[in-house]
This record gives sequence, structure tokens and C-alpha cells, in this order.
Amino acid sequence: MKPIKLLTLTTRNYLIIFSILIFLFFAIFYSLIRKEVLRSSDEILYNKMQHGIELFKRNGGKLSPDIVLYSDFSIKPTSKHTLGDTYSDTTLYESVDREWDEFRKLTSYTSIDGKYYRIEIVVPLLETHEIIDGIVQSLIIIFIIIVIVFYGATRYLSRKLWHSFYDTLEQLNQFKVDHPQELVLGSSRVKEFDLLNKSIESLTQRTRNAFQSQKQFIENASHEMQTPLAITQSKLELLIEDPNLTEHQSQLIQTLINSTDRLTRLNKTLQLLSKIENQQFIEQEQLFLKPLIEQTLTYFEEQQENLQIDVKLKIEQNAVITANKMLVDLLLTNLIKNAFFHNQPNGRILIEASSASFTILNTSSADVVDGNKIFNRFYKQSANKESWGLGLAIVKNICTINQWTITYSKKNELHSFEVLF
Amino acid sequence: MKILIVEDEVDLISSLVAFAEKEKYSCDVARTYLEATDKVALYDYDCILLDINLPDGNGLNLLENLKEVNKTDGVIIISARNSIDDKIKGLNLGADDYLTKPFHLSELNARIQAVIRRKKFDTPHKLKFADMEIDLQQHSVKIKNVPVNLTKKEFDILQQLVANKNRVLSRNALAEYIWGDHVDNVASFDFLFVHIKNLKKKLKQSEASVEIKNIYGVGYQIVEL
Repeated sequence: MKPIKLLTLTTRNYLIIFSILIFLFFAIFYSLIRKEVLRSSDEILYNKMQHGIELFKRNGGKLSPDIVLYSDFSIKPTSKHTLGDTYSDTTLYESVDREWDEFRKLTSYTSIDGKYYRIEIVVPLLETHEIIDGIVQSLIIIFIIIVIVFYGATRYLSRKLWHSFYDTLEQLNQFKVDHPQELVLGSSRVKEFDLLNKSIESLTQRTRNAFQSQKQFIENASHEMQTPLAITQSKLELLIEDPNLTEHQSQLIQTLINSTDRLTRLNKTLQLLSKIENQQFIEQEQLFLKPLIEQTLTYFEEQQENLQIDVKLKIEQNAVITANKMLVDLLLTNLIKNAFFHNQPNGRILIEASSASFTILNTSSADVVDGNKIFNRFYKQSANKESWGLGLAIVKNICTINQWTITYSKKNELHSFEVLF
Repeated sequence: MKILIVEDEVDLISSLVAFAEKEKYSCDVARTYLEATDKVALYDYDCILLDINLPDGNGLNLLENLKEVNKTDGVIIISARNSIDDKIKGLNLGADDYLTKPFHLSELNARIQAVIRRKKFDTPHKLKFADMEIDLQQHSVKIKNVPVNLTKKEFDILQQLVANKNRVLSRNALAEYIWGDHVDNVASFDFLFVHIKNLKKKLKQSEASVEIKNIYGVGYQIVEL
């Protein structure tokens, strides 16, 4: 389910509650008013009835001319004697405009000289309706005004109230654990938000500290390894010069040298990663991609020849970017190296470059590569012991600090890395 | 040829001293900043190998001292701190080169020779060995005064071998010199083998009185016949 904005949700819920309340209020109000209005019209009927009966009786059972005035007054003799008055709603046909109109009717019984009469008197309900309609209309107008004002006020106040919250959210969104600037959210007038800001600040600070100390650890550890490595390496190199070495001893030394070499490279690579992350490569210059790419390719000539790889270049003659030379070298080398080392005999490599992008496509023996993990440190697809899976992590880092985007995809059997400058 | 080793790690000092003896350099050792300043004030060195992290001070200050007294000793900084700041600072203060630990002794050797060549101005860009002459600037090789056509990588290998003629050059050091960190060991050894085979062939065709010897597969050494 798609999340809804807090403000929308609150306003919506309030409006629903409001509507229910207003509806109930209307129902109660309507019935009360109606009851009251009917009561007063019944009173009028009653008074008229008493008056009419009195006149009727006074005239000795004849309709007096006065009574005729009451066009809505009818007296009929009846055989049955029922006591009591009955109020009811009724409709009568009005022949003039051929409509049924609503009336309130009072039916009463009386006896004169032992004869029973049923007396009916009606008043139109029109007035009652008008009153109720009038009240309902003005209520609806008031209701609409209230809703509009309420809606506007809620939105305005909420926006004001939640402003610092959205501020916090925005800053938190921008927060990067490796950014040199720590997150400062400031204080809010709202106590809860103030508390929230403080908690977030301390949380991000702790995260930053953890990240920093982790980075520091890698830096320090790899730094501390350098001198022992230098000693080991120099001793081994002195050892191979010993003329009394047997072949067996030489082979042992070779494995030691190889292992030391691997450690040294790992060490260098980790330091390089740290340095890139610390943004220690500041100097920028204009770099022409064509000569850089061609130069890099010379490192892989043997590999190319060995596997008979068909390398095609589509590089714009004056493709130029502004960046740090060392980083661009590293980027190109790692991507090109990757394309060669995961290639297959008689494979292909296609390199396209312009001032806006660099793309390298290659055939590969590996068929499926996880595009999400491929840039992770120490993620290895191949079982090659000589690779640590750091090359693409370096590439990713270089892209990140230069705000370039890099994407991996596989199309038509070709693995492709695309960098957008 | 006189060099000064300024370094506080005893084990590394012994390696460097052994290396210097092999190259027939006479060498002094200073294990602290104070000792180094004393030695620098007293003697002139062709090259100083300077570790900048010393127990009693920053080696970079030594560069400032040298500058103040107008000494032109060649200086190669050897640092565990692979920091660009230090490198720039060091080079600005007059150091000739910057080498990060760990390093190959052959690499150090080549750099010392380069520094000394620069300081002495004698045949600054030429290496001579037996009947070979290598022009480092023109990237050309002459054997018995006849130019030999070498590929760039063959030239690099030959130059590195000649620079380290007194020692065995490990395959790892040679591969790293040619390909940097770009190529993995296992593959590069095969490639190196092919390049050296071609180089040997060319030397033989030119009737050079040198030979590239393979030392049990561990390394190579160039020798005069």
C-alpha cells in the first residue's frame, strides 16, 4: 500500500468524523424542530377545533356562517361514538393545481342533543416545511463554511507545526555517513520534535563515529603492515641472491615472495580505497580519454594476444573530461582489466567513449552476474585466488566521489559497464 | 658512492645495508632524527634514504635543514605513510623521489642510480654495460654501436636488468616494474617469460657479449660473458 501523507490522513479522518457528527446532529435537530413545529400547529388546530365546536353547539347543531369561513372545517354525523382527538398527517387533492398537498388534520368527536358528530379540521403543513427547510439550508451553509475553514486551518496549522519535522526528514535524507560535516538539526519549539532531533543527532553521530573508527582501523591496520612487509620483502630479495641456494630452496622462496606480493597488493589496494574515500585526490585537470585508454590497453597486450581477444575502440577524437588523473587512470585500468580477465578465448571487447560517457562491453565465460553485489568489496564471481573483488569497489568509489553514475548490464551476451560523466 | 640510511627499524636497516654493500656503496646509518642531523652536517652524501616517521621527529625537517645549509645531497623519502600530502610536501622541500614501503630493492636501486645520475651530470641518460649502451631518454639500445630494435617492454626489462646488474632481480619485481599493479602474478610470469625469451633472441642476434640468466625460476640476472 502506498503511504499517505500524515497531513492528508489526519485531515481525511477528521472530515469523516466531522461528517458523521454533522449527520447525527442534523437528524436530531431535524426531528426536534419538526416535533416542535408540529406541536405548535397542533395547538392551533386544537384551538380552532374548540372554537368551532363551541360555535356549532351554540347554533344548535347547524353550521353557522362563521364556520363556513373555515373552509377546512367539516362536520359529519356519525353513528359511532369514539372519544378523544386524533392528530394525523394527511394529503388532500387540490383540484385547482391538481396536486396532492400535505396537511395536518385534527379529528374530533362531539355530541349535541344525543347525536354524534365527527369533526375534522386541517391546516396546511406548508409553513412547517418552509421553516424546517430554511433551518436546514442555513445549517448546510454553516456546515460547508465550517468544513472549509477547518480544512484550511488544519492544513495551515499542521504545515506550520510539522515544518520542523519535515526539515529534519529532509536533512536526514541528505545525510551521508561518510560526509565530513556532521548532521546538525537545530532545536524545535515543539518539545517532541526537539527530542526527536536530539535523538537523531546523537544516533547519526554514533553512526559516524563507528564508520570513522572502522575506516581508521583499516587505515591504521594497513599502515602498520607496511613496515613488516617491507622487511619481509627485502629479506626475501636478499635471499634469492645467495649463490648457494638449491633449486628446492629457491622454489620455497618463490612461494614466499608470491604470498608477500599478494599481501602487499591487498595492502596497497585497501589504502587506495581509504584514500579515495577520504577524497585525497583533489587536483583536477582536463583529460583526453583516447590516449589514456590506449595507454592502459598496452598493459593488457599480452592478455589480448594470449586469448586472441578482438578489441574495438569507438572513441571520439576529442573526448575530454575534467577530473583527477590518477583516479581516471584507476577507473579505466580496473574496468579494462575486468573486461580482459573475465573474458574467454576468441572473445570480444568493445570500448566506447565520449565526453559524456565511457562504456566497455565484453564477452565472458561467466553468464550470470549479480548487478547489485558486483560493486561490493570482496565480492568475487570467479574462483581466481589472485583477485579480491576490490577492483570494481574502487571503480564504484571513484564514480561516487565524482558524482558519476555507473551501471552494469548484460545485453546480447555482452557484459557492459557504463559510466556517465 | 656514499649513502646515508635514516631509518629506525633495525631489520630494515640490515636489509638496506646488505643491499648497499652489494652495490658497492659505502653507507652510514642514522636511527634517529638527531643522529641524522649530526651526520648530515658532518658529511656529504650522494644519496640519503630518509624515513620520515622517526621516533624523535619528522624526517621532513631534515630536508629543511639541508636546504638551509645549501646542501645538495640527493634524498629519497621512504615512508610507510602512503600519503599524497607527505609526498607533495617532501618533493616541494627538495626530495628527489618518494618510495612507499614495501618496495622492491631493485626499484630502490634504480631510483638511487637515477638520483645520483642527476646529481653528477655525467652521461645523465645513459647506462653502459659490456658492449651495450642504453639511452634512457631516447629509449634506444645500441650493441657494439649498432642500434637494436626492442619493444617498449623489452627495453624496460633490459634497462631494469642492467640497472640491477649486481643482483638477482625477482620475477615479481620485474613484473611489477613493467605492468604495475595491473596484472596478476601467475599470468604475468608467463608473459614475462615470453618477453625475456624474445629479448634473449635479439641479444644473441646482435652478438652482444651479455647473457640473461634465469635463477631457478625465481629471478633473472644479466651477466657479462
